[in-house]
Amino acid sequence: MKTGKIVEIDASTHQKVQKLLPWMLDDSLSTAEQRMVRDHLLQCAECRADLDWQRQVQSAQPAMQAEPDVERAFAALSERLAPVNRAGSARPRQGMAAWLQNVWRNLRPAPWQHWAMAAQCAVIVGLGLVLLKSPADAPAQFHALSATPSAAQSAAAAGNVMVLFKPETPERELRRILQAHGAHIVDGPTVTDAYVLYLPPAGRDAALAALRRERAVALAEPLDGGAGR
Amino acid sequence: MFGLLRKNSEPPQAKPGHGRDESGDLRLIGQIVAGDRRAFETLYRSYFSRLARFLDRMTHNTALIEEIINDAMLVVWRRADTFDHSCKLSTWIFSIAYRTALKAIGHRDEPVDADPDLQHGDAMHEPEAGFIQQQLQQRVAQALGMLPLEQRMVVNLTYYHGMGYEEIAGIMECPVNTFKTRMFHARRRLKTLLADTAE
Repeated sequence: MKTGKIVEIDASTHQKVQKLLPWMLDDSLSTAEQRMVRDHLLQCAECRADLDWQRQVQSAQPAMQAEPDVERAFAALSERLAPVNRAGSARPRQGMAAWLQNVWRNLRPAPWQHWAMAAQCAVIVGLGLVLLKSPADAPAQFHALSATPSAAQSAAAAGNVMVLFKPETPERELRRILQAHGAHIVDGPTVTDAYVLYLPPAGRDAALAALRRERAVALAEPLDGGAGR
Repeated sequence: MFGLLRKNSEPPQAKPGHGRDESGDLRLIGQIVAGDRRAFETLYRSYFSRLARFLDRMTHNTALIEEIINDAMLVVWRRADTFDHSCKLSTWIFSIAYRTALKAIGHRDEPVDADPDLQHGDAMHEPEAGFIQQQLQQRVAQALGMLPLEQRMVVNLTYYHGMGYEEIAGIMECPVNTFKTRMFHARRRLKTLLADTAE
């Protein structure tokens, strides 16, 4: 039975609800706002019709007309990312001290690199032992024509130190280190990115110690079981 | 009238912006601060389509949209350490993209015309219901294209990106009340435009 009761709509609430209606579609209003809107919707046919109309507009989301391609776009962006030194560009320039800090930050290995280096060390030591044991255990089966190298030449050809440089070390720095310590590359980079070096026997232990002090050197180990540790 | 088409319309499409769990993206932004390019690529790909849909209401120029996204994401890459978590990550990224787009299009506020051919798509080969739905989409696209830029983007973010009013106000950098009023006027204008196109 109809009571004939007339519900008066609060004009102020109506205005507030009108402005909040679009966000009823996705329930992104606060709990209090939702309650106010729901209460008002029960009484206001105009707002119910408005909400219904907005649902229709939302359901008719226009199709995109442009056809951007993520692969193409990212390839273009990658070219711009390549030369960016993130650490350097993210902070204002602060002179040489800041630059040196950035260099050190780049050279310093990330936590996962410690594990990678440990694995590399194990492989290098293993390879070193194999190299040391090979001549004694297995007699040479092949001889290079008739040439008989001198003892010094053989030692130089074999190398006597294994070095692992930090991955970010530029070639220029690597060259400087080699020249500074009178080292020559005999082999490398190996599969573990290590280099076999030859250091003159006379000052080898001192050169090895100096190599270990180089910031770019992650590991330097003798291959002939000599001192230097 | 517009309402007559309703029974043939499909349910609203999913709106990825609303209620999206940002915890994964926040983890990515932390990795990006540390210089992780792979994390950046993951974030880039997760935002690309959303930004593209957002920008498509500002310009239909494909190359320009890709350029705007790249410029905006380059800012994200370079300035990730300045994101202070005072707003949602999506608000921050959309805000950058919006400002980048305004600069790129020179704030010309040109109406974005809907291309009937593109809007119809394969309508001729689809059932009638699909055709009617696409007609509806075309009318909405035309009406949206005639709104002033700011009103158009407000409607776009509210209806098609499922963003709350505070988030949109943050993106457009305007007070919440101003923004709500802007949306109110945008709806009235849109209603008039849709009624006109139905005649």
